Amino acid sequence: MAALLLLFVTGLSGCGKREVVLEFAMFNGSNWDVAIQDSYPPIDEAIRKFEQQHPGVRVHYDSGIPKSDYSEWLSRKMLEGETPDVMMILDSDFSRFTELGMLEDLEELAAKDPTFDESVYYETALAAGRMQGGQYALPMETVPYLMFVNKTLLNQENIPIPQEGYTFADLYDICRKVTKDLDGDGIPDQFGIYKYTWVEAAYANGAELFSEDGESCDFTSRELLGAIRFVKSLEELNQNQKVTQEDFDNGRVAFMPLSFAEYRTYQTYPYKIKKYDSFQWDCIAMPKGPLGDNVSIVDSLNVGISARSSHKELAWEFLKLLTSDPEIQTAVYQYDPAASVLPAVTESPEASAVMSESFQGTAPMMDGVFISQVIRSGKVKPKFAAYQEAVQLADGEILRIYDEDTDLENAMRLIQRRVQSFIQR
Amino acid sequence: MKKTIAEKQNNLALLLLYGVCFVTAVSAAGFIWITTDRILSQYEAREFLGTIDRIPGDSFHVLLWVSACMVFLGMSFLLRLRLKGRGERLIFWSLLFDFIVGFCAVAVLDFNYNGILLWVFANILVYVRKNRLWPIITGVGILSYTFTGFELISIRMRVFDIADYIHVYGSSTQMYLFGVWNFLEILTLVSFIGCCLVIIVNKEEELEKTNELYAQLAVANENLKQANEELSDIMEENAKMVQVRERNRIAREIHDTMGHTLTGIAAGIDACIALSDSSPELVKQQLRVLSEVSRKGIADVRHSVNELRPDALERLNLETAIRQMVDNMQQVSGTEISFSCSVPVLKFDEDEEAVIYRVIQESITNALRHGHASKIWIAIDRKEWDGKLHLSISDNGCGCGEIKEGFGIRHIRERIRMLNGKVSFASDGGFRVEAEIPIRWGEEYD
Repeated sequence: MAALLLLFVTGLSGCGKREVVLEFAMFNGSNWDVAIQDSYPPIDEAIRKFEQQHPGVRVHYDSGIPKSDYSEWLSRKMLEGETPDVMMILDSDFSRFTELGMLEDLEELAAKDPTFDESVYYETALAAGRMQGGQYALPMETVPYLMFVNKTLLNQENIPIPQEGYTFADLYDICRKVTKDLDGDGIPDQFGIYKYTWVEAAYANGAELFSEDGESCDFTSRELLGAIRFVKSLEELNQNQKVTQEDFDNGRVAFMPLSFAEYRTYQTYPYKIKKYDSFQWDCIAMPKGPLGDNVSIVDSLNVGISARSSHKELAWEFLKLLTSDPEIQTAVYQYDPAASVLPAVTESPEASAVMSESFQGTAPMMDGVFISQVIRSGKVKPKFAAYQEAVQLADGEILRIYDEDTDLENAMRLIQRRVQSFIQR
Repeated sequence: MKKTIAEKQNNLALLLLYGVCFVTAVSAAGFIWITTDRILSQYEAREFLGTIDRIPGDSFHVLLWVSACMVFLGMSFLLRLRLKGRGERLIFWSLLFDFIVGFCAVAVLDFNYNGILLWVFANILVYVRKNRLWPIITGVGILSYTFTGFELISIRMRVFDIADYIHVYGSSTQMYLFGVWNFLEILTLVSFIGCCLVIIVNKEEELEKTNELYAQLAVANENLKQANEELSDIMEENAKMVQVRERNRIAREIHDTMGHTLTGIAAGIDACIALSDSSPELVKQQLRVLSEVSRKGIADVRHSVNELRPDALERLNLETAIRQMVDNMQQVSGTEISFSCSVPVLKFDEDEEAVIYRVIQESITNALRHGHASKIWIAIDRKEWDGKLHLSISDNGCGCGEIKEGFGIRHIRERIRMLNGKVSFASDGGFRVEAEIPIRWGEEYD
């Protein structure tokens, strides 16, 4: 007994003398499914800075884990009882890990820290790490969805690019005008819009599909019905023709929603995929529904702290450095084609310089203030584990409505019941 | 201390319960560890996390902690077995230790198995002597068992569920695993109930035994009281007896000394009267002897009064004393007295010597007083065949037709009986006293 105790005490004191190793978990590559050269330099920079500020502390991470394996890799770590102190969390894992109690609620750490100011972040980006009334992660990168516009096509049709605050009606009008049969085979081969779904329309029309806790849903609201009707009307313009990515790449589609990350990737050297060099293009905000606003969906890459970490204070310091240090955020901005979570960085001349460095002339230089505005007015997807599946379930049903032309309100009541029973399960 | 059957039964029941708890707790933790390993090896970690409520930190640590807790509980049980009956304070602390360690083990297993608490309470029940504490302990036991039950805890807290780990396996294995798990849980309950029954039955028996002993003690007390009363009666009687005996002894002493001396003097005076005409010289001589005898008689009386013990014997050894007495009597009474002794050294215990001396003295007195004998034969010898001392005094006096036990003969009989001897009297032309005395021969006497 005494010997065991002695061993334990020596073990403890031995631990005390050794340097503290902070485990950081990250994946290689971009969170936004675009190709990037290297995701480690900004992290290495952050680690160098952190270790300088905290002598005796070392930050360690495993490199080379692709995003596709990351979720399994992190889950294994958790099951093995080796949850990293600080970790990037995929959107698909965030709510599950929070429910499992694996993530530390940061409110307490934030409250204790006088140097922490949450107003430096975009509120929308912070919201992505909020769940069940707690802040379980801080955003490291954020990406809004924008409307990609084929300027060449609109010019050909003598249609001006929609102005700020354009509406569903404006969009419909343009789409109706551009949908044409160019080769005279009786089938339209130029289209208005591609990849615009009822989900984007619902956000733009101010529909709230789920309650914040994910306990209830509302699929019978006026806003949603309006959004679905609007998308259906857009579909109907295509006269049953399926619009494809190829049509868009060939410059025969006027509009397509696109993430900011894709936008930056495709317009930035050296990763420019010269897909879109046959036409000139631009990005604008999403259209505004009659009951809503020009609202985009905003996604964020979350970084959290393990609830089982034994170095929570240090983990918090590192997390803060990664997410709120302007220098690090600028480095992140350089290497990953997302927007910074700090308005100060996104709107800074340095960020503009990064963009203009690779400006190729096919697209206008992205205005940081415009991006900031889109992010600020954007909305995050609800945070609960069944969200993705619930939306997929509803999507399948709504696609059937488009095809079968049934009574919308009745069909939506049915969907309401099905989705409600699904999320309660 | 020797273990009673009840203790052995209690310990056996506890040991069984401990075995069941140990196997269940350790195999639950081991199962979680093995299953985690399986999940990892099949790359199903994320899928598994999608189906559960909580994961234990490190499943191997869970196994280690649970095993350690169970070993600690076992050690504390052994300690109590060794202490059995002693060190109540230590037993109390060890039971408290058990409660804390048991609770830790239950918490480490995320309340999937709280049978360990049953083990702790079975132990407490064994050691609680005060019956009024039973309801409290039972209450605390039931409450803590209920509120650490998985179903209740999982409502209020995030806990991992062993069922989630069982669901990892194929459906046929699942059935088997659920079967084993339920069996172990039920076995724990059954063992606990069995254990309680054994403890309660043994306590009852202990109580009955105690009551029985109390009853026996009461009876013994009553008997003792009675015996005490009887004893004090006997003591009183004894005191009276001693008094009576002492009176008898005094009477005997007076009779022995005074009677003997006076008899001798009377015989001497008779002789003087007979001689006074013929030989004044002899009379003078005789009177001198008488004077001496009477002085000796006075001394005897004094001595009897003081010590109630024969003087001659005190000063002289038995043989000399007898010879002196014989000479004196010959001179005083003119009777021829022969004394023969075949025992080389006449040296016995004081009471024996006194009895022999008195018996001879009494017999001579009787022979002179009642038999008017002219010859007296005294013989002391030891017979090889029975090892007793044979004393015989006979005379050639007139004897008597019918032996009437007077004071003298009765005293001879009493004295001989005091030494567990036998005495017989015969009168066939003269009088004969025959006595057998079982002398306590010492080695030095042979």
